[in-house]
Amino acid sequence: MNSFDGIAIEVNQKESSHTIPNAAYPILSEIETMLWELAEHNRSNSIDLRRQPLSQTDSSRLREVLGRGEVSATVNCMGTTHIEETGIPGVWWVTHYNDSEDVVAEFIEITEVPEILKAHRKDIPAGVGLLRARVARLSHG
Amino acid sequence: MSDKETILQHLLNQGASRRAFLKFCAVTASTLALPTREAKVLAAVLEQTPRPTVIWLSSQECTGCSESLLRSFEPTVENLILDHLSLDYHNTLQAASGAAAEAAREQAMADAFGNYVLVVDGSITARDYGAWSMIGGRSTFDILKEATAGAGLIISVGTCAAFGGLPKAQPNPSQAAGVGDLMAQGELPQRPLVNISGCPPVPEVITGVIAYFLAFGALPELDELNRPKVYYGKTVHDCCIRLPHFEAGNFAMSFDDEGARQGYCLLLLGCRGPETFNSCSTVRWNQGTSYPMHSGHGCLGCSEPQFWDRVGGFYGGPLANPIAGDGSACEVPVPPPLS
Repeated sequence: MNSFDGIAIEVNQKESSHTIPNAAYPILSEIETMLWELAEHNRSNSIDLRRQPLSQTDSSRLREVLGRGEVSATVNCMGTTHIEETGIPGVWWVTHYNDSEDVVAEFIEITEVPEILKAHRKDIPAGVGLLRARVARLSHG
Repeated sequence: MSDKETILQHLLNQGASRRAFLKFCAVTASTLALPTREAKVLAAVLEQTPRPTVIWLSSQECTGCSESLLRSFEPTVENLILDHLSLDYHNTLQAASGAAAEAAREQAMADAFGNYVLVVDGSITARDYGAWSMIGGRSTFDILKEATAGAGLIISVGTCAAFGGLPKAQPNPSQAAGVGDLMAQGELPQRPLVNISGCPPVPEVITGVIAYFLAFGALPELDELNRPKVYYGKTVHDCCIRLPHFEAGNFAMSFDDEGARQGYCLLLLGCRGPETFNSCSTVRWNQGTSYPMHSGHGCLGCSEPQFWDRVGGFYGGPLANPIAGDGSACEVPVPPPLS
C-alpha cells in the first residue's frame, strides 16, 4: 500500500466550494468535446488523468460532476482494473492497479464500452472450442 | 525481423490474457506520456511485432541493473514483457555457459543482424588490451565492439554503461568509460543510443523505451545526455513530496530529527534532487511504492555523470547547479508528434 500519507505534508489550497476547481474545468470541457465526437463520428478517445495536474480536490470535484452510472466492473489481470460508468453516458472512469493495489494508470475513457471490458473477436472462436470440450466432459460424466 | 512469435502471441502462450496485454500498453503509454492516438498505435503495433532479439552484454558491473529489472516479488506486466523479450544472451541469467553460450550469442546476433536490441550494463575498459574485463578469453570491449556493429538500438542501462559510473570514479584505475564516450572517441561504431542512467535505473523506464522503439521504430526525444526526456526531463526535486517544505524554508538538520519526521526538505543532509534528472519521484520504485526522499534519505544524484566524485561526498558540499523548483515541471511534457 502506498504510504505517502505517512509524511506529514500540508499544502494550502484556497478554493471556493461554490466553483469548479481550476484543473477540473478544462478536463470537463475536453470531455464534452470528445463526447460530441463520439456521438457525431463514433470516435472514441481518452484522457490520461496521471498527466493532469489534479489535486485531490480537483479529482473529487471531477467525480462529483460526472457522477455514477449503472455499471461497475473489475478486471482481474496483473492486479485489478476498476471500470466505472459515470453518470454521463459514454464516459467511463478506468483505474489500473498493480498487484500491490497502487494506481499505475488512470483514464477517463469516452467510448461506448472500454476496450478492456470487451471479449476480443479473435478469442471467441477459441471460446467455442473450450465450451464444447467442457460440455463433452459433462456428457461423459 | 525473424518470424518469431509476436509479443502478444508469446504472452498468450504463457497464460497471460489479451486484457493483460491491453493493460500493459495502457500503462506503458501513460508512463511515456503518449497522446491517445499514439497509445492506440502502441497496442496495435506491439500486437503484430515479433519478439525482438535482445543481447545483454555486461562489462564492469555489479549486476545491480539486472537485479533492478528482473527481480520482483510478484510478476508484473512489465516484468512479464521484459522476461519474454527473447533475451537470447545474458551471462548472469542464462542457464547455458561456456563455449556453447558464446556460440548461441553469436548465432542470435547473426540471425538478427542489424535489428537486435543490444543492452549494455557496466562500464567498458580497453586498458591493457581489455584485460581488466574478460569473458571466455575475450575482452568485453572486443565483444561489445563486435556486437555494436549489428545492433538496431543500443540501450546503456545504468550510470556505469551510460557515463562510466563507479569504475570511472577517481583515480579510474581501469580507464573505464561509457558506451557514448567510446562512440564519441571512435572506438565503437556509431549506432542509435539511449542512456537509461541511474544506479540502478528505474525498471519501468527500460520497458517503456523498448516498447516505444518497437512500436514506432524511433526513439523518444532525448536530452543532451541521450536520455529520454519523458523520464529525465525534470529533476526529482521538481516533483518531490518534500518540495512544499523546501519552498517554506523548512530543512531537516539531521537524519530522523523532528523536522525529517515532519517531511522537511533533506537538502542540508546532502540531497542532490535539485540537480538530478530522473523519474524516481514520479514513476517511483518497487512498482510505484516509494523513492529515497519519500523514505527519508536524500537523493544521491545517481543518474548524473561523475556523481561518485562530487565535492564533499554524499552528505556534504554545495550543489553545483541548485535549481529552485515550484512543482510546475511536474506536468509531464507531451512528446512531439511523430512525422
